[in-house]
Amino acid sequence: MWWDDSPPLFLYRLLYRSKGESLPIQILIEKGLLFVLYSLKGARGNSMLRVVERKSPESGRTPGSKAAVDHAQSQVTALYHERGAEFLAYAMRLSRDEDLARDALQEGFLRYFIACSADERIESPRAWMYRVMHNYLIDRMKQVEAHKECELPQSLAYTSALEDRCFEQQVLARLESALSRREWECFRLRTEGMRYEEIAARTNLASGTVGALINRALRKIRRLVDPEAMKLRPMEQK
Amino acid sequence: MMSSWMNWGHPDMESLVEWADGQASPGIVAHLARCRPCWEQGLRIRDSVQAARRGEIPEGTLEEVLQELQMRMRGALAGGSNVAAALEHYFGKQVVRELESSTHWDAGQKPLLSGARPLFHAFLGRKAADALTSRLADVA
Repeated sequence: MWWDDSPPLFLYRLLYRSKGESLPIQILIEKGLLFVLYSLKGARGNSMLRVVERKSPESGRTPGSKAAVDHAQSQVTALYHERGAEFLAYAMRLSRDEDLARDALQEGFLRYFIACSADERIESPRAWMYRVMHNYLIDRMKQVEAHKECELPQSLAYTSALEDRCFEQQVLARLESALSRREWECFRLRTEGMRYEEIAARTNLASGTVGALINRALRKIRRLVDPEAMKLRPMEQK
Repeated sequence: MMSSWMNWGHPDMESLVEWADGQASPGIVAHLARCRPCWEQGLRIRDSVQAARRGEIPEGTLEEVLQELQMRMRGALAGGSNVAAALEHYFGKQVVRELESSTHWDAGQKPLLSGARPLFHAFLGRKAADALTSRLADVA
């Protein structure tokens, strides 16, 4: 098939920037972007090979050559011994999580190694490492936050078990009217015990969107329900 | 003339590192005095430098991380069929063959990713290229 050999990279970039993470290119194909691939097919190929063959004008090393890789290894080792503790301390302060901090340190140095062995010129390796680790940690923390399953407030869990069906119906009607259709649907499915992925599959939404909708619904509900008195606030406080 | 960091409104990482080392220009100092996020970021770097000087990070932890890092670096160097297959997916067979011939410098070692990085960089931009190459390094 004509698209087997090289899906265009700019789509990866678009997706990377829009979602903050990369996805398999097949997903794009499934999304009906074949016509875009086709239109780009002719412009590819030769220009890629020119990039591969490029040598650094300053060092004269070819990216990926033995000289470039040897140089990269010595650069990484020197920077690690000089600044490794400082970088790890920074990552721990930013993430407050030792495992995540260690990941960030490794990730930063691995990227530095690949960049050096590709003979990329880095003006200030120290600032470069700070920037890479910072971006990595922010991305990872966002991902964790987006996938965090929020707990239902105790008061709401209790509400669903109330023997007083009238009160329950009143609460549900009030909640439904306070939430948008999508918020209500996601929230209702969550109270039935479904996970975000299951809700996403059921509603044809992205998992992150489901999380956002449920969080927004919970914020609205917290404004509506007085948890201590176990009753709805008056309408005017809605 | 305005310095480059001012064009973007906030100091870049180089300027913050300089500030943490006590070498910032008056413009940076003035900015940090009124910008809380930049101030916090600068302080975080300065604290980290001081923590490292105090020996706050155990040597054993650094050694462990270094060992893991070296394994990943070896993986990135080894290349092999997994990386080649992953790269083929993006560039096609012809480009990967070209990469292999230009980067094969020792028996069993094909630092394909190093050779592919300029390609990713050219097509994707720096941040996406970083993310993709380090992900592919783990494929090896």
